[in-house]
Amino acid sequence: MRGQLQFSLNWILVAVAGAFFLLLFIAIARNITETGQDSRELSSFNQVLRTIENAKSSPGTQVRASFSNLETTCESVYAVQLAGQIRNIPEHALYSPPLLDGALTIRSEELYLGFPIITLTYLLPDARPIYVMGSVDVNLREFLEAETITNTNDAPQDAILVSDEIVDFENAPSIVVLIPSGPDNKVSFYENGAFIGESNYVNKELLLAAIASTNKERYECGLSIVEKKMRFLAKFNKERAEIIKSAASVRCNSAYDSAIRELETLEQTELTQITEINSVTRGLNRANSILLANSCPTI
Amino acid sequence: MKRAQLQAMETIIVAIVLILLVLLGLFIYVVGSEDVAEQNQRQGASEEILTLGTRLSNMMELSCSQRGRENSVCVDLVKAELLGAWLTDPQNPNYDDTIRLQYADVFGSRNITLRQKYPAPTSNQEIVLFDGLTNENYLTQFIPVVIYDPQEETYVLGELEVRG
Repeated sequence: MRGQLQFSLNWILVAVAGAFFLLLFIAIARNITETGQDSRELSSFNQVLRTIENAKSSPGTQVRASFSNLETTCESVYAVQLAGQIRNIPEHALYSPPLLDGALTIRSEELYLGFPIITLTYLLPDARPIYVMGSVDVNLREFLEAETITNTNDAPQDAILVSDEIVDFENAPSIVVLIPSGPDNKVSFYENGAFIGESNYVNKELLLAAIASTNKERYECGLSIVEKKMRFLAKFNKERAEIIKSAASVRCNSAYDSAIRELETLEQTELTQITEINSVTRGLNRANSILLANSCPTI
Repeated sequence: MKRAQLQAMETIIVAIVLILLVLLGLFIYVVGSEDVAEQNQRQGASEEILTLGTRLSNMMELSCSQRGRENSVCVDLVKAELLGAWLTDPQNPNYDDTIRLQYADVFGSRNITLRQKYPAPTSNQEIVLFDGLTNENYLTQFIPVVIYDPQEETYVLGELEVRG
């Protein structure tokens, strides 16, 4: 009887010790995996930030990065959940898909309005192929690295289809961005065959942004951010011009006055009023040329 | 004490010693990983500050308007004074919480200060560009810059102190 008890006690101890070691090794393995994953994600995130910064000075920059959980919000900034922390992608990365579970591609394109207003950086979903149908601008195809198709049946359901003609929605991919040919510069969004709405795109950069955002709400949210920033910069530059004017030589005054007037106009302008923006841009460039010619600090 | 009891005691002692050894190993591992985590955190923070340096040099709200000075970080003094006042002084009429929030995304939880270094300034004047520091345990790094004063049309050497 005593011998049996002794035998059982030994086995119980072996079982307890075994379970302890097993749990310990599982915990260590999990910890190492999670730390490695977090560290890779953080490194990718920093790479993305650097690329976005480089993209501002060299349009066309491209990077591929991978996140296990990248969630973007439209309200103020794009937030990424990494290593249990929410990290923000700077606000100039304006257009990105709502949720990416895999790789993403960042491409940059400068919204050049003749005067440095703002830079746009697009985040495109790598996993989702882009197809172009119809006579869409050739540069646009190159930028998007899109495949050309003639039939909607050739595009997979998870693709983004860019077209300038009404497509056969029954066979079209779930997301369709329609650019109607014509002078009104409208872009229409369709999801699963249903018309979601249309927006203005005013120039090529914003058309690219519309395609990259794939979603009317997201695109318009991006537009509002750009517009707010543009007005802030207009006010900021106007204030600076007024300060410099007060210290500069009298020969510079008329050029500063003209630049201040243009910046006041820009402060009241909406982003969709491209003609107005172009006119302000020309005015600012003219003022800057006069300032340079007179050796006065530029705007 | 009988032989069987002695054997049982021996087994228990061996198990206890084993568990103590494993706990010791675990303790060493945890302390070690904390060190590695802290090191990674410091390295990450340092990388972020370097990224911030590039970001600041590209920001049109700070950079000099003149061309031909792309090789060094050039900060426009008037822009720096305006931006600092608009972002950090709630009494300023142009202070806006939403705009501050937007810039908080760029600057992060950091304090960024601009100061002249050479020629040595007559007064200890510095411009606080952003005051978002919330962490008591922070790193301080310095980014050398050229400061351009468009009112006087002069260039001096300075530094951006980044705490975060």
